[in-house]
Amino acid sequence: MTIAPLVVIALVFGAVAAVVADRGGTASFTALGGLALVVVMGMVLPVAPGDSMLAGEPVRIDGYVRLFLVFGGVGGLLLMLLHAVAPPDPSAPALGPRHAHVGAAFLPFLGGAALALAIPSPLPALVAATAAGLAGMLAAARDATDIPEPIDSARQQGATRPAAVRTMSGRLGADVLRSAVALALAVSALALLAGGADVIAGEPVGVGAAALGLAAAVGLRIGIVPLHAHAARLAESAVHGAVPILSIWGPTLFAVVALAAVQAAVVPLGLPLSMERGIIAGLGLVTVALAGLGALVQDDVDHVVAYSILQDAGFAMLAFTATDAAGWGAGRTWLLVFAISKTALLGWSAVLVRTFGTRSLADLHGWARRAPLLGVALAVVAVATVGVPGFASFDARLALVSAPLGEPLRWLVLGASLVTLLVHGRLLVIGLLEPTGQVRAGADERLRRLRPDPRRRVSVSARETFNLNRVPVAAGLAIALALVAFSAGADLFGLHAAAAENLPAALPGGQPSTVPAATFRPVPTESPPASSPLATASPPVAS
Amino acid sequence: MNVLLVAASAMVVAGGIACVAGRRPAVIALGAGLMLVAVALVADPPPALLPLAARAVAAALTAELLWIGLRSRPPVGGASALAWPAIGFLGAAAFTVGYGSAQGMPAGGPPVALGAALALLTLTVVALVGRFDGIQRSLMALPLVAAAELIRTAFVGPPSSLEGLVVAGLGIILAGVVASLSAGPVHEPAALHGDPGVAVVRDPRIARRTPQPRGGADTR
Repeated sequence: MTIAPLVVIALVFGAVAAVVADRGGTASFTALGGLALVVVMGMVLPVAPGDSMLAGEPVRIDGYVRLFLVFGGVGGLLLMLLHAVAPPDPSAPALGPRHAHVGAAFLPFLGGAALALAIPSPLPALVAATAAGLAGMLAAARDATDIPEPIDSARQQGATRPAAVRTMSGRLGADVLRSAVALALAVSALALLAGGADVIAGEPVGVGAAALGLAAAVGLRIGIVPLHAHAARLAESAVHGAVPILSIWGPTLFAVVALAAVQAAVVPLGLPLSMERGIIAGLGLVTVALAGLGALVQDDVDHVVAYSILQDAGFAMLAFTATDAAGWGAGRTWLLVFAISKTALLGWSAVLVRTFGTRSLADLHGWARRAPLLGVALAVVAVATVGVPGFASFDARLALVSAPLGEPLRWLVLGASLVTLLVHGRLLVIGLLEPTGQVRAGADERLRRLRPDPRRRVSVSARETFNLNRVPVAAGLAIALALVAFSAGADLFGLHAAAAENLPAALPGGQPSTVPAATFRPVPTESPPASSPLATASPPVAS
Repeated sequence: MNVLLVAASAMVVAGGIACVAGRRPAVIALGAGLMLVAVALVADPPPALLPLAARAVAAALTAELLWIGLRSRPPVGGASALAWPAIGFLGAAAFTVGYGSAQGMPAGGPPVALGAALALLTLTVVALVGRFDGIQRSLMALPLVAAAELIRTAFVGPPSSLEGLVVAGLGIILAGVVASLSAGPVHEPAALHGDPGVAVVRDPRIARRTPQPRGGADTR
């Protein structure tokens, strides 16, 4: 079966759902968006792995593509339901229902992702991945403004952030520009490697520059240090419904496709590229360390989640330092586990904030006592992210560290990457402290029933019962999302094996020689006289 | 040198200049559409008729989305630091450099593609300086995408039909983002309305949903 119907349905449903949501039909939107996500997943599951043709070019759906699309679809569906069910956000009533954005962002993303992952050729796949990532921008841009928020007045009143935070359009515009720059950088590097292979092959500087360009494009998308500030602010301030695509799934998809490009264009050359790989690994490790530190010291829950996303995304840069096919499976496994586990963390934070009406951890002391289901959800997310030996997440983390680093440094870096455990642990410990007044005032997770009233309509009873139980239902959905992340991290669906298969073939075109070319030819300082017999013999050329 | 390729490259650069330096929505939309169609023509051999028609339709849709989005919102970020003639000269210089550089490279495509790509990159950077408006920044992404396709054409040869379609889809999505950004509340500099010292907040969505009196909508 070809992927064309899947792509078309995802894009058309996404467009229709966005129009419905824009016109205020939230109930219709929820039904439509949910139905579309289910239809898309229903189309992915029965697809048998194999090749087909699309617009004259071969496309391939394998196990990893199916897992990526299903995890993305399930994550988007649960997140949309979670936003629809959770109590209304008291801090941003002007922004309207957030769940409308989730479906509007996820549906076109899934269509683009199916295309990007199924096209074996890395150049069109990079373009498709960029287009899919920008789908989230369509949802977020509808709420953007360039009117500055009254931050000072809000802070004077004790609030961590202003009451109704809108994304600044300048910030979104910069992110669009950043995506385009990343695309141009990656395409240029890849085109140079493919088209100019005969010239730069064997020239470590040329290949290294191209490899650095590909890695820089990925770093630009995911926001590694020192390009992290913008990515962190976007994750903090964009509408919650669009953040999963903007900060997690979009960059993840781009990184998966760029990893395929590296495996097809750089790794087959067999060059050591020690300096370039050292730079990439160094930037990734600095991101892991600094973003982990940032997540540990922040007070705002959204900030903690944003830095936690950056920390684990930075770890994915290590996949671009592999000199052989070992980085392929581990990198793709890590990227998918990262995407679904951070989506679950975002779902958890959305329910937490909307249950207790604050983002400040100082005001959220004792949240886990009041909402134990949310505590369970956070613990499951932590296990899914870190894993234990035998889990896909843990093994991928170990493999990524092992490839570029030697023995003593390897364990140090592994330890630094496990700071994410401290971040989750800190949130849990705060939740077990003595509850604050604001937490006590928040709704608990007990199921409630209306007092019987025979005069009340059934529909009214159902609606009011639902409104009474928004908090426990939303917490249940957060747990469901965490369990989906756990299933990915624990390799319950064969993610590790699926990620390691179908290594990309070397790029077509002039295949370069891996023998280093002579780059230095000594010139004789003194020319022998014309009469000398040496003048007729060609000087030896250093190789 | 193929005259048709040079003409297509000139159209690309002219469209790019209109896209990044234009102040009227129609000029920006037309420039973007022209650029996206002409990019497909900078290829040797030229694309088949059907893929080219698809690119033209996509470019028209991109232009329409841009026009619909931008006509409800003035260019609050102001003009580019340089006027369009200066940007044009810089683009021409960059084109020459790119064309000359491509002569010495084992390129898989026409040398003018690298010239046009370098010209687009140059005029994008020049037009971006000092402009912090989100809409204008998003608009700059269009010539960057076109430049990426031209670089690909210059080194590897013309893109396949599928790749052309994907690039066209990306253009439509970018135009959609620009249109969506234009729909948000805007802080208009008062100087634009002849009332210095008074900032005006305008929300097109409120204006759209509010019944307007006869004689036109006062959206301020």
